Amino acid sequence: MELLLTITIFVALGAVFVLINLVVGALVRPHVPNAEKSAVYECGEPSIGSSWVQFDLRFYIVALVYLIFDVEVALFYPWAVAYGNAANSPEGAFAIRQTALVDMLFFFGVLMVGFAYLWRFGYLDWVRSAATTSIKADYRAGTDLRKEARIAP
Amino acid sequence: MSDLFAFQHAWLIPLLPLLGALLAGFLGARFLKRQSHWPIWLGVGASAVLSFSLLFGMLALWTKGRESSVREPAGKWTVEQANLERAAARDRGESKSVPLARSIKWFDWILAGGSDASHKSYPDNDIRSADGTVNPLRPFHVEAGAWIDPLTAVMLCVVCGIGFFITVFAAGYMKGESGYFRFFAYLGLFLFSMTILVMGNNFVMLYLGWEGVGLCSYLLIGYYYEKPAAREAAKKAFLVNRIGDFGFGLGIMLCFLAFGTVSYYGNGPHTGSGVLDMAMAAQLPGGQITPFQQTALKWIPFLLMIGAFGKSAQFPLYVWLPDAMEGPTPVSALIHAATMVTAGVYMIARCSTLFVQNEAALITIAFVGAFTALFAGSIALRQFDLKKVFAYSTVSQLGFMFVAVGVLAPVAGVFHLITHAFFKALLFLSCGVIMHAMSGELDMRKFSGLKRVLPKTHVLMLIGCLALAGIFPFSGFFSKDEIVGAAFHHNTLLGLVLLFTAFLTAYYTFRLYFRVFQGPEILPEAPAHASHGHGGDEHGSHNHEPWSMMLPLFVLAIGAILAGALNWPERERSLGTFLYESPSFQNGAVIADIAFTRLGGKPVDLSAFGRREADEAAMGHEPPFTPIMGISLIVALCGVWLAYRNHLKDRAAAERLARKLGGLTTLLEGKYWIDEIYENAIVEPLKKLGRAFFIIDQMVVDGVVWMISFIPQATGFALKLTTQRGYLQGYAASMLFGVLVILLLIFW
Amino acid sequence: MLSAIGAPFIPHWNEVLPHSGDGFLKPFVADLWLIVTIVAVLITPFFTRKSNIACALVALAGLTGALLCLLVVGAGSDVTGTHFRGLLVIDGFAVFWKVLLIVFVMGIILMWLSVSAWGMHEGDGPEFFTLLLGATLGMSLMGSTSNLLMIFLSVELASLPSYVMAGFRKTHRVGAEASLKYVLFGAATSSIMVYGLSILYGLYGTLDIHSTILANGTAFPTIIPGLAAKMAASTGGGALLAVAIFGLIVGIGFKVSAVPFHFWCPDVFEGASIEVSAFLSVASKGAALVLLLRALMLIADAFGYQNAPHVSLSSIAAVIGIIGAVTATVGNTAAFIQTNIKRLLAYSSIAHAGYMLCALSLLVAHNHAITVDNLNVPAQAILLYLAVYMFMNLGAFTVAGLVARQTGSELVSEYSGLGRRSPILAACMFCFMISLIGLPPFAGFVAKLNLLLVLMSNGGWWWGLVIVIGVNTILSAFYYFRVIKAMYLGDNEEAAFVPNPLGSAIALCSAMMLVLMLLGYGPFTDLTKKFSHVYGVDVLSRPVVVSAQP
Repeated sequence: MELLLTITIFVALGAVFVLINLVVGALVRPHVPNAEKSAVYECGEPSIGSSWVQFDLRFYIVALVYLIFDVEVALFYPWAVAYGNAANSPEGAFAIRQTALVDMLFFFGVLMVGFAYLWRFGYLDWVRSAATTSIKADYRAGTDLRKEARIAP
Repeated sequence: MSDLFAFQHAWLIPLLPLLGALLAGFLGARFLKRQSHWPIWLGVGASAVLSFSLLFGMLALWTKGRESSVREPAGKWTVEQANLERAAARDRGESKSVPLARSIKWFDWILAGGSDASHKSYPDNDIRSADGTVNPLRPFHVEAGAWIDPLTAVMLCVVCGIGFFITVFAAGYMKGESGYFRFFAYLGLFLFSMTILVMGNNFVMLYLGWEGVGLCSYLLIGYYYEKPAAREAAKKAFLVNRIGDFGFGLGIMLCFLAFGTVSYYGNGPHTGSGVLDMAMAAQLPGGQITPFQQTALKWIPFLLMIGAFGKSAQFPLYVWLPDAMEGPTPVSALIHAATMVTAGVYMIARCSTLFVQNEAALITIAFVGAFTALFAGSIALRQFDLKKVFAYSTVSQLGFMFVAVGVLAPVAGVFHLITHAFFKALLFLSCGVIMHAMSGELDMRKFSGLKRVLPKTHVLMLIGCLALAGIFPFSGFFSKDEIVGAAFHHNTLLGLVLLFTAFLTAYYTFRLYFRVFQGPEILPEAPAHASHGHGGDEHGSHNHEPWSMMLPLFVLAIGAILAGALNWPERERSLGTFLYESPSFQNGAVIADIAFTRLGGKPVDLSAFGRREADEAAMGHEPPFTPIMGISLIVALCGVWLAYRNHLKDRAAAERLARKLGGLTTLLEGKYWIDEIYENAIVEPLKKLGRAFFIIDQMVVDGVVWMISFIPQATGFALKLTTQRGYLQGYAASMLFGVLVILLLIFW
Repeated sequence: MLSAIGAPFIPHWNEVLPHSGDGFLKPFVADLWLIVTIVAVLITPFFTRKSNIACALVALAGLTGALLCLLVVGAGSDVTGTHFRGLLVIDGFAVFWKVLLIVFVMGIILMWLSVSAWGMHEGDGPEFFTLLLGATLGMSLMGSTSNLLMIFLSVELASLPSYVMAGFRKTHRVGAEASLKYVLFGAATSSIMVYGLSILYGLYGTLDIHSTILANGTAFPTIIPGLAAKMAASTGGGALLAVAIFGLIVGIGFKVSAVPFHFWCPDVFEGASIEVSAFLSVASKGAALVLLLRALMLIADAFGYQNAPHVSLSSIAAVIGIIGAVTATVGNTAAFIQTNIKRLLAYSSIAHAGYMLCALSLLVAHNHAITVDNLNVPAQAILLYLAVYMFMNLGAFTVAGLVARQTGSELVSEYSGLGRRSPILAACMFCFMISLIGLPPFAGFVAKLNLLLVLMSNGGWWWGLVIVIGVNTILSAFYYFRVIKAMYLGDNEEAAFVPNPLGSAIALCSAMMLVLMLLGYGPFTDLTKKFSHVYGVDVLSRPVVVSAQP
């Protein structure tokens, strides 16, 4: 029970702290709005239209592929450092390096298989042909796929 | 003992018939067809061989072990108990013998609950804590295993041996029937259940077999399911047996509640770990027993007894057995005469430890048995259907067995069980031959003087009749006589009733014999042929007594003649002394001695439990041939003579007699109207009650159910409308609320 | 500083070298096989045009190989223990769970072949099976880890493919919506869980829950006190610790679909294709239960199953018990009004997860002494329940899929007259429904009875759980029987049909298994008992901590 009280006081204090700051700010700052000032800050660029737009899904695929290889490189770095030091190890530096290399080649190979899959089956094509998309069976020329997707078959 | 093949492989005995049944059942319709009997023949034959090797192995050990080997009372016996045991052994005037009984565990079948549920092994003596009370957190542990002792071995030989010959007979008898494979599959299944019944080492196995044979009996009575009578008979048998089984099931549950186990002897006799062992403690000085167990011991025998009454067709529940004759004749021979119906006797003999300490139960059993014997025997007097006569005769003979176990003579009961199995199977199968020859006709008024047409059957039937009537030196004479003797020792009234029943038995048996085989030759007219699957034309040239059917009959006939020698009173090693090696009999004797001495009644004749009276003059007191033997032989001969007078010499005399005793005749022909009484006194009121309950059910129960279902339904709707509306925000809010509640709970 | 954190997880050289470790990869051959299978599934479409079926067959073959490996590992007991410096652990419990999981996933693939293969677009198969096997790998690892990092990784490895699979029917709006809900809730609960785990690490400075880890490199055989041991030894941090364990419960509770984290379950089950629903209903929940069980048992064990001044094990147990009871009740009441068979089964699976959570609440030895046998009782109850539940759900979903394929609708009302239209399916469904209620003569009875007996033997407030489960069983009978009633008493003029033979075979086999498991009650209970040992749960035989390594 005591514990509960402590936590409640803690949470309450946190909330009060935020509120007090907001209230103090609202009381102290001057209130002079203009169009420039209330515009969305977009890295210095003037913003165009609403930010609530749907991005094309293809961006995400590219981003994901990028991310995967990014992570891979990030993993290569500590690997290289850690096993590079193995050269100083008294117990069979070569065997250790050999094992490390095979391990990493396996890891890389698995990634490559995935990458090959993406490439071969058209996930990297900006304009995918109907032959490589999975909704080809439903696709008829002139239909809006986005609308189609909202209707349960 | 453990190195014997038959002990090691006792599991094959039930398994082989089951395998045969599966083969016949699943391959029979498509592949085996007319050869469907082979799997059963082989399976049951192998089981019979194993059973006999088990018996002979045991006999060899018994003979060898008598002189050597001292058994020390082991386990949890108190000092007093151990002393008592030694004293009992001294009484026997023999060096201690090798225990022929042992428990063989196959696997743990059911293991539920209990605090020590994850034991690697589950020794049954764990059910008691240190102070001797039953551990309340005991697991419900049932192992699939066998209890092998002389009683089991003898029963197995009867079941598998007679079962084998009857299956051989059935192959000839059932030839050409539709559903041939079905018949044999059921038969195999029956033998599986029956062997489980007699082999099981605990009450649940016994119950499994008990229900299994009940099911097979139902299926086989209803084998001709196109016939309405067969259907009705099957249903009747099943329903009447349910009444008994209900009591039986309750008895087993009570056993578990009181003793914490359902095993007969747990790890072995005298370890205090099985029901029958623990029940002994009630009578032994220094035995630990709780008041609840005391009370339970008063009730368990009665509950088990109800089961026995149902299965073994004793008085209030006997009505199904005569109707069961609608089944094929081999079934009547095997199930409804030789084996299944004797399960009750087996069970009471097995649990004699429970029964002998409850005098009320014993008296009930003895008197119900005696009444049933007289009652059914009298009905048989005026039956004209051959199979019906033998059906009532079976009920009557089962009554004899019940009297035997009720008057503290279980050896005589088991002895009669064996001899009865032989001669009654013989008689039924002979009936089957007659039925075959007479194209399905079984009314003894329709034919007569068949000794020319069926010469071999005539001789066989005569042997069977002599054995049933109890004529010296056929087997029935010895076993029946032992029962009558034991009954006189116990209670003169019982003895007189049995003696009179023996007279009736001889009369109705020979009435049948003289009418069917002697006298002028009358054959029924041919028409009823089609019912039995034979073409009418070939009937004349048809051999009525094919060897495949006759051979089993000869074997059974030999048994019917010689089985009496098994328990020859003079012999050192008889059936009785062999059975005494079974802890069921041994403990029964000890308990009976103690219990009845305490009550101050007549001293118990322990030789009836198979104990050999070597030291005292008991041996000398009991001459091999007692006066009662002579009296009962004379009584039986009187019956035969009366039958000869009324049914051979002057057949009209029987009808004259019947007319003279008009009221009695009507009563007997109406079978005391028991079926009608049941119909009006029980079935009809029950139906009315059922209708009343149906209305209550509709109004009250359904209403409650509706109410019960309404609450969660409403809750469900409320949940759906409040939380599960499909909106993410709603879900998130509900989740947050839940998280807060959990946090609150954690910090509480 | 980085190296200080990383040090325990870069394996010692001695362990890396194949010649020095005594088969350190051997216990995980099955998992390695799964990885190989995933790669093989991805490569398969390069070689064939019928890639859907081909991938299914490759996946089946790979799973068969994994199963064989597991059986070999399960047969040998020499591998029990922690590996890779405590990242992974293998013991009877893990092996049994993996066997169940792999058998179940094989069933799911067969179910896919019989129910959904016709409806999947050519070319989607490789992706589907990669996801399925990926999730399987994650769930398999969930069963064999007690390392905080690995817990998080494996949960995510199991979750991410599940999210995608839930929305795999790309043109199906309900599926897409359900998938999105699933992702959002998953992310939220995962973040709470990782918050809790990070507090645990912060409090005790180790990621390993095991009380003791034997670093089994040959050069340095040392015993390091693990998280649970430190937790038991130190006395502070009560509030933070409670928050941390709460975080763990939330993250796992979401996977188990315990109330109040169950909202995704019916939506996802309805939206996903039926084999995915079946997969999630058993595999995902089972894995989460297994994981939570291992973590909590280890902690409870370190405390000797008694309350400590700073940690009240009974309140943790009570929270789990209450969550379980509420989950079962909500699941059953909500199932009452469902008309869609998949939603009905979803709520049913919520209810069953609640029953299993109840068994998980046996963290405190209440009524009986702590013996070697009692320690693994909850593990045994859950394993047996899962083993039975697996077959019930596989069968029920298969029948639902076959019927939906025939009638084109998932409504319960479509089951009317099924007893006449397809007697086999109806009979199987009858078995599954009865078994789901927990009535004899099917194995559901055994599982539930076992669970109840285990709860009863602990006594105390666990009797309350027994009563709740009992009442819930009665409630659940209503809606399960509704299906049976529709099948056998409902009128339907539609013609009889012959269901897909493979699907019927799965349903029949599952029904047979249920009957078999009841008949073999003793042997199956023994089997689960034999395999219910959780490595590290050995309060009675634990060696004294020799030395502490920073």
